[in-house]
Amino acid sequence: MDPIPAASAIADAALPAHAAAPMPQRRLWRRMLGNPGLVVAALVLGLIAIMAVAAPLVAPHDPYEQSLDTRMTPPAFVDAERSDPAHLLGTDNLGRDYLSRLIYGARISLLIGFFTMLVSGVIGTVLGIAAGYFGGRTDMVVSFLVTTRLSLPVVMVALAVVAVLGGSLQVVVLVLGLLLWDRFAVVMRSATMQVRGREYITAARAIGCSVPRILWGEVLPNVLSGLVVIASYEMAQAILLEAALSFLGLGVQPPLPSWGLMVSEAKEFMLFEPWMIMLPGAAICLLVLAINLLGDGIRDITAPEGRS
Amino acid sequence: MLRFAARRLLLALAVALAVSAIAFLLLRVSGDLATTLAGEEAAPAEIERIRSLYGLDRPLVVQYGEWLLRSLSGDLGRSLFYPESVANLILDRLPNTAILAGLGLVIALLLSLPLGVVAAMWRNTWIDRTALGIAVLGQAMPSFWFALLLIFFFGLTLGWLPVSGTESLANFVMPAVALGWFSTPVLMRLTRAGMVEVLGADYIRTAHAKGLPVHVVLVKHALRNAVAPVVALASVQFGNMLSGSVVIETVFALQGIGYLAWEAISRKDFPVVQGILLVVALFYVLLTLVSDLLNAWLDPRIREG
Amino acid sequence: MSVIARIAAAAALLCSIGIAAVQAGPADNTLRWASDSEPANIIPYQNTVREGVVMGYLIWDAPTYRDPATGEYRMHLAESVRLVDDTTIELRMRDGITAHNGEVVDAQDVADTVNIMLDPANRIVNFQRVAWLSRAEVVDARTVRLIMKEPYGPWQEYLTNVVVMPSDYLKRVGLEGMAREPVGTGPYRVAELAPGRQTVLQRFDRYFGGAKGQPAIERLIFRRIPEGNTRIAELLTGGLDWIWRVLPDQARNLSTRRNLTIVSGETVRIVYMGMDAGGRTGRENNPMTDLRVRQAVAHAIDRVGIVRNLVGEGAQVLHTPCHPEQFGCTQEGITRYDYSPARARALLAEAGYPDGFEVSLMAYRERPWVEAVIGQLRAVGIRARLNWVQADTSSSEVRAGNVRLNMAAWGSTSLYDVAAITSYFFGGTPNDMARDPDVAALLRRGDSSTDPQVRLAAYAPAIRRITEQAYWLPMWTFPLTYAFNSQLEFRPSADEVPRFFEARWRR
Repeated sequence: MDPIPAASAIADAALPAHAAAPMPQRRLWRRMLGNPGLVVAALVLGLIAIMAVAAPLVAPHDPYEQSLDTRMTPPAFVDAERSDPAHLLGTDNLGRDYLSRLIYGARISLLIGFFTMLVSGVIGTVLGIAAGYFGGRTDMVVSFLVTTRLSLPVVMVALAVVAVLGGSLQVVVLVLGLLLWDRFAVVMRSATMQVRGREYITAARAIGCSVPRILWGEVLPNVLSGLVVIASYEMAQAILLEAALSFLGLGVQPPLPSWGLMVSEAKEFMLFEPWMIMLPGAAICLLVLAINLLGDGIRDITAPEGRS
Repeated sequence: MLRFAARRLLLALAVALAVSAIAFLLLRVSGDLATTLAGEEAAPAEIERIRSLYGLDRPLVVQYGEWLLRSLSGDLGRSLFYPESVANLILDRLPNTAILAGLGLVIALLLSLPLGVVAAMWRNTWIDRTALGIAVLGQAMPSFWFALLLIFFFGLTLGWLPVSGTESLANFVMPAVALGWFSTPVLMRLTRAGMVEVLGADYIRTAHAKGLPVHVVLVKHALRNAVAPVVALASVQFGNMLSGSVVIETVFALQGIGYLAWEAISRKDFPVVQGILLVVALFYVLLTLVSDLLNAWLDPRIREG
Repeated sequence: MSVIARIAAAAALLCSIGIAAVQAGPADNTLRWASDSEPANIIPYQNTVREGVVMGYLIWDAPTYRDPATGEYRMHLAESVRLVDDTTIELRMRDGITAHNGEVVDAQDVADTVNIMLDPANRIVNFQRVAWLSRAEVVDARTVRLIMKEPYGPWQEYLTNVVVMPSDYLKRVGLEGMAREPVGTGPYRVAELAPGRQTVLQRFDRYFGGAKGQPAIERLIFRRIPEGNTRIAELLTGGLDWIWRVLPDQARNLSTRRNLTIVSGETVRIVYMGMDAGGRTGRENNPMTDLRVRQAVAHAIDRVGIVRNLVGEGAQVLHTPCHPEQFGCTQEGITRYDYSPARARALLAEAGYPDGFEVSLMAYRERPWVEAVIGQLRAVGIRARLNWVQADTSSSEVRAGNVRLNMAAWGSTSLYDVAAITSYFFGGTPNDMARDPDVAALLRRGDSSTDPQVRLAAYAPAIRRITEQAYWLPMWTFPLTYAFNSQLEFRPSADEVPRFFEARWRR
């Protein structure tokens, strides 16, 4: 029996019901290039990632250097007269260069997304594969954990914990990581169950391979594509949740410039200097859209022929 | 079936117990309640006085046991700040959140079903991707930003809708759109996946072959079958919306339990936070239990596994 | 990108079309106001939030009333007040005061209220209001005596906070009943109390007037709207008539709207930086114990620039560990520190920190100000890591002696007396980060005298020494900006208590 039908419904939405069999690399490439959404998403993400990694080289100014007398200088395309060519995208509330803060902000936002995804991915994958491979008692315990996790409201619990521990990059990543693993577990469990019955696993078991070896060497590679898809959604989820926490004053701490924090800082000027909230807002939007497109693209190209 | 139901029930009970322990522990592990209670401008002796008055100096296990026993009898305790019982507070705020979540779900379904069907019919074309893009857009915008944009556009500039409050159903429209659109992608993907599968099935081909009009085939045959899992998921999404509306409720000054929870969290009003977590979690457990049992009853494959 | 197009369109519309005209107002003689927080319990003894204080003034009365314009204490429920001895205050109550429920309020009600609030079993949240008293005794129907625990200097100030409740009703329904269906003697009675939705106050037609005078506006409707943009949107569409805590940048832009009046006022609240001069976080490697380092911090921060650019109108740079308007807060002979990064760097080098040092800065409110301070400290080499916490965590960490550097604000619970601030932070209390026994002794002498001259003579040297030793960096006074319908006659007062009973609609 499926111990968590309602939960798997969520997973189904993200994944094809069958784990993909490994596909020849050439065909994979061809399919990938035939999917324009995927290509665009990959390009956008790549660009943001490069910007984030090379921030000190790319950023025109020190993102922390403030100048109160020139605060809230608009960019040229908003108000050419008040703009300053030294600040391409203007300056923020404390006169810090907005473009540089956006570039460094990409770092923090991606870091949060990536590490949250890593934490939740590890927890969820381990639990999911264990449940799927061993079944029985293990499966029951994991289903219990997943159902418990699902019944805890994410935003409320995250708020409560961050309110108690105080917001910081580490706390946010840890809390979100501990809250977002359920989908990994559910998907990995069903994917593992499908793989378990295949001949090569049975064969590996017959020749006496150890369980960890089978899990690592045979099972994991076969459920990897599903993993990537879920990972992309969870990453987007983490970035958005951090923005929501920032809105309530509990995200990462300034002067670290995460995009979520920038949006919530600019909120106060939304009525009168709308460009300030539009820039980081659009950046988050673009990032989340790209991540989602990437996930859906990967799902499509790794799906078995005839399905999508 | 009976065996299946019993096992599900047992799981639900275990989960409920685990959740109660988490709800209780979550806010007790750190933070000094006595300091909060005494107020920002209180003297230290005052804090100690309050600590012993509220029994906060007793062992944690004792406090949890007492709380659990009382909760079982429906007594969730009293708020530390409101002159009200926690149960009354939650009951008072629940209708607002329920209306918001209900309306949000309606909007999510109104968006996701057509988008999912369209995406499935023209799958892997630009139409498919545009439909997905529309669905994801609502999620990609940080919710408070989107909510504020709605306020400025429909409330301020056009003056069509009231900005905040709960006086009429019109007050719920903007918050429900913000909340509903956020849940659209997951429902839309499931509709699309279901439709893709059903459209490939033999009986649909037969229906086509019989020369039935496209919309009849789509609505009467395909959608009806594809929509079952969507409904199951929708019930779960409803549970999520009940708790996920903290930000939306804050922006629209809509006093529901999401906002009550946030308020209680920032004041460290433990009994209220615990009560809300417990109620929301139990509601979710109940919702999934019912939806699972219903699914099993409809589809024997699930209970036999 | 369609997103950007959408947003651009929305923004363009917002700017070009402008905003719907203000519509609500004097028509029904109702004032609709909103704030970001609200008291969970409306009884003034049971909450510590500002909106609760405001409600307290509207619904209840105290024996005396401090006139915000002149600062003098005027008789209100009482018709005379005198000190019998160092610890006994005798009140003669005004005749014929009736509560909202018709109950007559006299000496018995004063005594009962004070004694009920003093009873530990009642778990009073805002205990400070009565903590300086030990009990109350009825002398006759109109005379009551309040007994202080010990001679208490600022008793006149604190007496304005002892609100009186009709005690027959209070004893019948208890504190919870009173919180749910409040009954007072004040200018407004509670018509509807639905926390979260709205609180409706109706003018009390049999109000005795007293020092507060007769209210003009018939109905006050309060709503809590946590999000600032939403409050502004409601004000602009006429859903609200009055808001406060408008940010300087918002105020600048709102002031161009025709139908709105924007007023900024000073408050008794101040912003300061606390430093661990007493070495409570350890003496080893603790730069804050060095006077030169504390002076360097003081010179590093451009308070004038921050006030001009961020804090906004109505604020002034502060040099004392108290608000200049508070009793005893001398401005003579104090040490002032001007903005001089060069001097700051020199002092740091002299103290043995030529490359600066790293320190954790705890703060809990007004993030842009804190960020600006961090930026300026960074410019002289002090690398402050922000530790952002909740207000209560901040105060409990200070008490526990875990804080090396913090930035905070203090409103002295609206009391115009240094006892409510300087003594609170330097009197050898757990809040005392400096731990200077001389200062503590001076403050103690000032607090425990009821003779104003003795008090002034004790406080002045204490305040001078605090500034000379740079135990604190007093930063600026906390301004408060109000935005309201131009047809409303409203004058803000410095104690952060809007007097709606004095407001009226111009017809």
